[in-house]
Amino acid sequence: MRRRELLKLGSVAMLASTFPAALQAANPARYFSAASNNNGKHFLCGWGDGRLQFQVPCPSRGHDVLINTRYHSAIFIARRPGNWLIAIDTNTGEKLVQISSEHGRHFYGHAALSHDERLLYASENNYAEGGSGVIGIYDCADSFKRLGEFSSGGIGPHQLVMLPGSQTLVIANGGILTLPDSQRDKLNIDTMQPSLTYIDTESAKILGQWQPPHHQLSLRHLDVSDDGTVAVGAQFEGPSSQTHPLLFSHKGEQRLRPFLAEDSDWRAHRHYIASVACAHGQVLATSPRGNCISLWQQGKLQQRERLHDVAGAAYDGRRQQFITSNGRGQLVGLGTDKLELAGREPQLRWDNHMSIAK
Amino acid sequence: MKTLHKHILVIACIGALTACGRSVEQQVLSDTGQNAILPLHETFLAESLSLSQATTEYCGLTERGEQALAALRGRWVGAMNAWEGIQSFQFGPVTEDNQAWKVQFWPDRKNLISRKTEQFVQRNSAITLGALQNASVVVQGLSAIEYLLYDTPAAALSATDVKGGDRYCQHLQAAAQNLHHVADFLYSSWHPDSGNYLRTWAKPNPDNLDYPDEQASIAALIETLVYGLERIKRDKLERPLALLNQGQANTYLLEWWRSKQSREAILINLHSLQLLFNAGGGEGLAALLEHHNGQALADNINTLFDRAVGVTASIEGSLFDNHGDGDTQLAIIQLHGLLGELLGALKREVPAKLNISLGFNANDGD
Repeated sequence: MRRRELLKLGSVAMLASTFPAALQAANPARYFSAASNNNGKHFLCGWGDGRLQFQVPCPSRGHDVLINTRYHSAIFIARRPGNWLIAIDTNTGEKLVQISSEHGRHFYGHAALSHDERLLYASENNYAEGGSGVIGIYDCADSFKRLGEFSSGGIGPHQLVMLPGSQTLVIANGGILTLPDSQRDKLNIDTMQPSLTYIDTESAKILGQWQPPHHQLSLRHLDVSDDGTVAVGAQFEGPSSQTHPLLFSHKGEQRLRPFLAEDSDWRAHRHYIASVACAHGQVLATSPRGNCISLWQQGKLQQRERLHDVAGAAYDGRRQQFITSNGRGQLVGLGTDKLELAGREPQLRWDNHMSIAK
Repeated sequence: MKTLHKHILVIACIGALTACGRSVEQQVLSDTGQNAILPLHETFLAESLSLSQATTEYCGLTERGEQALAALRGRWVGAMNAWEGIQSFQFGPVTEDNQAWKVQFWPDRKNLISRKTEQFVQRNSAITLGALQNASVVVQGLSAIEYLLYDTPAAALSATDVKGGDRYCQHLQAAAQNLHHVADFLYSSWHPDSGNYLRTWAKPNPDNLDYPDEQASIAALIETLVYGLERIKRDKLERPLALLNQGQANTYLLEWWRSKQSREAILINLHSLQLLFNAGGGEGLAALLEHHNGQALADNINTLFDRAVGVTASIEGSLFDNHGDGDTQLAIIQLHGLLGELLGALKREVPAKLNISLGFNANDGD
């Protein structure tokens, strides 16, 4: 079964655009992120061993990237309202497959893998029917054939993750209505209803749904720790003179639990969390508008560092530290008391998210 | 003709500098640092020291009275004006560890300044610098001092029986002392003989996390100009004066509403932002634009700054009292329009001309 699946992916790869064999790296890429250059060109990149291992052109800005270890692929999803999904070989950068979103749907930039890495769940906008949120189901072993979809339980589903040890998907429904005809304009700021929604992927039933304390706190990015605690980051769409907690945790309680910090710490994030990453009981959040990285433990602020235009975040198990990326092409580790430069590609601007292979 | 001479001089200087092996960008960073950034921080240091000394003197008086209070208020205005000169900085020491909040807590929608200052004064323990530094930033800076000098505590402070104002005076002295400490931290952090952030910013290199190249340092400068102008337009005008909607003005959201210094603060902001743009008469962003065939753009920005300063200066009285007057309203609308034009030029035209990116993910909204 596995061999047949791999052969199927391989045949797709042969049909897809090829990539110079010379770039098959002795030290494969471990950091994956979409990026753009100063000329407005967009790429899907693999970085490792201190240098850029490959950059594959893509049609528009990418957003998130998932690493599928089962198929040795990095799956990049277009930034909203993009309609492409591209899988590339993590070792070579070879483009394996590219698909377009279903008619009447576009991607929201994020997806999650089932625990066996066979299925992919992508957050999508059902704009053909008014902009309801759906989760598209794709078969990673069959050229990302679309198997179906189910409701996300809200408008504007953004990041989503599988809970450990279960078939439950946790989804950040941002609540913001956008439609392709009006590009990225926000159409329902006054009435938006964001939620953190748990859905059983086998029955597509909503298991639970939780709202943030203010209806204009758009829940967008999340991660889950090994014990199943969800950390979710918000972007506040209300008056900028107001201050609200922008991070919440949730694990079975009757409400989202706000992280604890001074108002001045929240204001430093400028109403905007771009990425959330969990590891070893800690949560790291990035804010490109606030030019800051914050590290949290048990819901309390531990450390805050400044980094310009920082957005991407992931934990590097080999370096045993969180790594962040920014719009200046920098890859920066969070040391115990300071930031550490891990690498820099001055010609690139790393896009919103990054993933790191183990 | 005068402008032509200035341009010839700039071009000649740029030619000479390049010949000496120093790039135009390096000169821009050096001049902006030496002629604008350091002097602005030095002024804040000097004015905060002056305020701290004045509070000590005032609180030592056996009879305080209205006249002495007025003189002390004058010293506070001096320190506040100096702060407005560096308030817009989006890079450097002021962005570290909530320094800006230690100086100014605004906007204060919940009137926390009044509530927390009174709580701090009325508690049982001694009011010392250490106690103040361990308390909320709300009670620490210029905003708290403004409350003490211009709101209800002012009567107790200037009363014939000085004992009634003693606790307020202790708070006043601790807050002014703390302000001076913050100003000292900011200045020494920039200064070449101490923290030398000036070098960090003006001598970029790939290992420098904040400024891996000159483009990043110049982008920080432009971002400060943009932020400063946005702050005036949005927070100091639109929001308190309800410029963009039909709602009621809320003058308690004006900056420094207690002392009615909102207009003066805007004036200082504009002056200092223009000073940064021109590197205090040296080779600044304006000269860099000229080097990139952006002479007309640089001139236009300076003209817009001049007009914005002129319109602000023409407003009579305070925004708090007079925002509804016909002439004042007209001036506010004019100023608002000029700020919009300045922002358009600095956010779009300047980065395009200099091939500089002002953020990527920060503009994303995703």
